[in-house]
Amino acid sequence: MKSLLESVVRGKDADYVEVRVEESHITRIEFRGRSLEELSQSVSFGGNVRALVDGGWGFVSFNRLDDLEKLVQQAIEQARLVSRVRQEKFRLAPVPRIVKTLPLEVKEDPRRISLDAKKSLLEDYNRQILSYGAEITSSRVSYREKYTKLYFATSEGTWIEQEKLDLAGSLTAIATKGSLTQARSHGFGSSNDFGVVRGLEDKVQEICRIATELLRAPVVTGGTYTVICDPRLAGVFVHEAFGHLSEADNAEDNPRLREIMTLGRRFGESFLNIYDSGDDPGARGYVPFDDEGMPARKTYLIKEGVLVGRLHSRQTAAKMGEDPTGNARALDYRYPPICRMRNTCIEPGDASFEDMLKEIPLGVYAIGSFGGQTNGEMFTFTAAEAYMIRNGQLAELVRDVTLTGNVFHTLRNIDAVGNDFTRHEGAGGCGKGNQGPLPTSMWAPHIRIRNVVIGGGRQ
Amino acid sequence: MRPERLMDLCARRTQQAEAYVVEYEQTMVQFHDSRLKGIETSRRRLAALRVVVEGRVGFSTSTREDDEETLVNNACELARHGQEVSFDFPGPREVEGLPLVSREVVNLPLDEMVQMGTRFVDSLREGCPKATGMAMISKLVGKVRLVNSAGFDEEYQKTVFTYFCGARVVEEGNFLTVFRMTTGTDLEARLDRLNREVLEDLRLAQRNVPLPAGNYPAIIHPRALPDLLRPLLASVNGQAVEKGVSPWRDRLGERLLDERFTLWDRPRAAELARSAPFDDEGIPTQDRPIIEAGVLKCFLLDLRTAAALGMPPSGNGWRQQPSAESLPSPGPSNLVLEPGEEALAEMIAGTKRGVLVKSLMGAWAGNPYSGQVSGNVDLGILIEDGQPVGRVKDCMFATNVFEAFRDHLEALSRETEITRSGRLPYVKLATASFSTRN
Repeated sequence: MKSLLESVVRGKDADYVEVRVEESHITRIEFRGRSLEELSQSVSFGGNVRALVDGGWGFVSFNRLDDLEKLVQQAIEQARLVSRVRQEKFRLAPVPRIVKTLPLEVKEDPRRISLDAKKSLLEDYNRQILSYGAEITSSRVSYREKYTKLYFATSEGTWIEQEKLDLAGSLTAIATKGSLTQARSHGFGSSNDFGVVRGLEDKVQEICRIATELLRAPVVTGGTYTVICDPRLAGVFVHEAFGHLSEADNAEDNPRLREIMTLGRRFGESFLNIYDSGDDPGARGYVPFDDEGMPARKTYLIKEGVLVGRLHSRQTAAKMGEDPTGNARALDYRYPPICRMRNTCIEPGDASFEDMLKEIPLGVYAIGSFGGQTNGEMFTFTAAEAYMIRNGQLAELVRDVTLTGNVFHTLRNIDAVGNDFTRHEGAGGCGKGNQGPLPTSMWAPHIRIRNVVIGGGRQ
Repeated sequence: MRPERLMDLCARRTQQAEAYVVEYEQTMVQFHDSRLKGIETSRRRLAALRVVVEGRVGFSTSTREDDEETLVNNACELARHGQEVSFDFPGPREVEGLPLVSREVVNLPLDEMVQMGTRFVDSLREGCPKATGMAMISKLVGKVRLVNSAGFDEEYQKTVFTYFCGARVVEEGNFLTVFRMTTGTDLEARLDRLNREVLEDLRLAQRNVPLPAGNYPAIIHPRALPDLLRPLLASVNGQAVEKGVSPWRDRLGERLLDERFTLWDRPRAAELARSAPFDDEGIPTQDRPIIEAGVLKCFLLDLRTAAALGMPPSGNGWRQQPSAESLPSPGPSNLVLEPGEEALAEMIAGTKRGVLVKSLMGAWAGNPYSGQVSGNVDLGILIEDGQPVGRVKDCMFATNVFEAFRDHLEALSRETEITRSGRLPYVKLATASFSTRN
């Protein structure tokens, strides 16, 4: 493979050529209710060529290697067409030349566990959910594992041969009463350990209890509240509300956005620190080398409340005169790398949960998330579980809690950061453009935010 | 991979077998920040094999061209652990073809695709210089073949053209994104209209206006409507019915929504993007109402859920498009909501104070079976005394669609738009909740 790939990227009439070839083995297991809805294995073999010619990009992806020379030519021709139309040329920031083989380092290797054993483990959880009580009417237990062997060669002499693992899943209890259905999930994930799938019996009991209680919970009253986000939701918040805005491809060609995202600008209080890191083994956002061959670098985005960095690819780094950060990621061989997050974290502060709580006369404690979205300026996400806070104490469970806000105001409105940093891995993934779900991580402590708009029932 | 070879290999080892082979080439031209950003081509080929061995199902896919034996071995191995099946693959059927191939799309030159995007960013540069443009022009030419051991062997070819144009204005404390998108099997000359609409949205939204929190009439744009249809579709999905989680599981034949509400599944509307002569399991497709005059008419069923519910399959077994790496599961093809009598202009003119909701953000999240839809108003235009007056921001939209489409449906527009989901009109709700900071 090495000699083939190195030979096609060399000596081409192009500024830069890279080729990536990968083979992934994907296993999916999913129970819904009593039935095994999915049990499948996919072999995904394919690759791509990306060429930069006279400052324009061309990209071709494929499943068959036999016409590789031709595919390289096609990418080059497309790049040439782009460069003829586009006046301003793309450039690439320099990166070190890497020649490296990265074998997989795993704790409990899912490939050594039989399909039968995996299925039985999940089936057990499913049985526990379905036998919880009469109001639990259905379930969803899912598991997905992807092992990838990846080869990457560039015309600059970089060669990386890498093994990667991503596994994730979730347990969901679905409760029904009359026409009302409520659900609560627990997600898990890892890039090096099947062990995270074990020992979830207590979680099963918890999600069943909450799903059942949600059947009797009122819809939250819409309005503006002080909100405490648990570490999972705080993670989703930092990802949605700030991480996406930090992706440099948003700003590279937009002078107004570059102005707004000027390094040195204050975004939050002095106790707010946010970073993105690719070198946490085990995290789903573990990316020791990105998909341009750039080594991972821990990148502070906000330090003591001030914007200090952003997430770069080689192209955006060159454009903005900064250093690449190792954030150029592609979902798989079907896509070119773009600026993406890895493990985005809020550093712990010094507030205890009790202290955050006791100062709130009326508020909401929001836990976990069904997912979120951002458009750059505004964000929104739905809490999986939420309680009213009344007179400094946790009060009744409420449902259908969707939080929304302006990224800039909301970061400013974070008035407490907890001391309970949590390394949680979820089952979800990040979507951007049409590339998703990409495994990412988001670690955080509890945070408290003032003035959050919550959509809900009639006022 | 050759389906014949897969069938031969399966003949001795399986009770039933089904091979689905999809092949396509897609070319995409992308504009970003008002400039041509790049050109991407994907050439894809995938085989999906489903087998039944000793009454249990096994499923495996591969993009490897040359290794039929491994694919068959994997599928048979998986069947040892698989779910018991209670259905048979359909045998040979009369499949009526559909005109899904447009020569115009097949022959659309790359240069012309680049020009389409250039025209848009040029019109934007002239009409709204402070905005930056994005565009995506894509053509897909593909082929699907489905063969099974019961004797079904059919294929169809298809082209899909997609055009997306959008613009972004970034100002301190104020981001605005507007876009239009259309997709279908043919290349319809509606691009100039979409380009103009982007400029019109930029004009309408240039001023932000306050809206006190409260309940107001809402006019839902066809592009935002799929977020509101999601709970309905989740409730008619055969899986949710079979599992007993659908609130509509026992309501077939009952009047559940306003009698002007008729929602079709139209897989045979050839001009829409998700059309096909047969579904991904070999059931010939049929246009049918899901909800007719407010009455729940059918559930969306694949082979498995149909068998479990003791109903005939509805031809709604679809695989993920275009990658097809998962088993077929029930879902809609093209959604068509029947338009009404009123013109959009009349709807707006008849609104004392309300919001034209053009796009929602995050409204896809949450539990669909509750009917509760809640999302940030990504682009909403406030209407006062029948006139659009500006953009509403920092605002959450919330409604329960089971109630809204039953009790608060004020009007459906006669204008429709082709979106990714199908062909939809504007829908006016007499009331919806808007939570704002004010």
